[in-house]
Amino acid sequence: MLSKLSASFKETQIDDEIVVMLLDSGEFLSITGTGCEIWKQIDGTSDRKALVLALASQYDASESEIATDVDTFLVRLLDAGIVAES
Amino acid sequence: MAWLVLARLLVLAVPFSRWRLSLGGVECPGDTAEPLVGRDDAQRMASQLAGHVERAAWRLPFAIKCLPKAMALSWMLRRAAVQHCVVIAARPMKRREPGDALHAWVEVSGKIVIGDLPGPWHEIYRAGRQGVV
Repeated sequence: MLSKLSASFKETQIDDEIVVMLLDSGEFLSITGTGCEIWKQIDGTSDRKALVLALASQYDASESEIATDVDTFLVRLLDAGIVAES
Repeated sequence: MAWLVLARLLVLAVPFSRWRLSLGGVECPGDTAEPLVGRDDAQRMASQLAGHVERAAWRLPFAIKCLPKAMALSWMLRRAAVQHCVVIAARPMKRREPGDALHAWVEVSGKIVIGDLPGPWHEIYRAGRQGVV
């Protein structure tokens, strides 16, 4: 399962962008496009595969295409320490 | 001036997690607290201190951005026991120009005393310090 580590960041949605402030480093992430969808669906109830399936259905794209984008984005979030995978 | 230099060094070289609590907890008391006795005095004092910070920043041989100014003022207000909040915010993407995506300011009783730039700004982080006026 993928879950957000809410104590490690602050976020705000501005139009079509989600700005995330990392409370450890003080850096900011700008999340846009499909990244916003992935971010919103990380709710502690879905794993990577479920995310890929949901997004592939939503965007009418192949799972392999979506999987690459999801993996790239998840690595960024995991490295930033704001998402955990269990 | 020393506060400004220290703040700049912290922002440049030290992770946010190491100094963020110096600005107060993330629940800013200014939002929910009853109006303070002496609110006008607090704002007046904060405005005077903000003026000191701005003048000190102007005298330094390097540029001081909004966050170090807000940090320096926050520390000075803390020493003066003035309740305040430090706010960090982002500008909407469509309204951004190079270098102005993020901004920081200090509020005393809801009034911005340093860093009052035209918006719109969307608040991301708010830290507060309980004080006694």
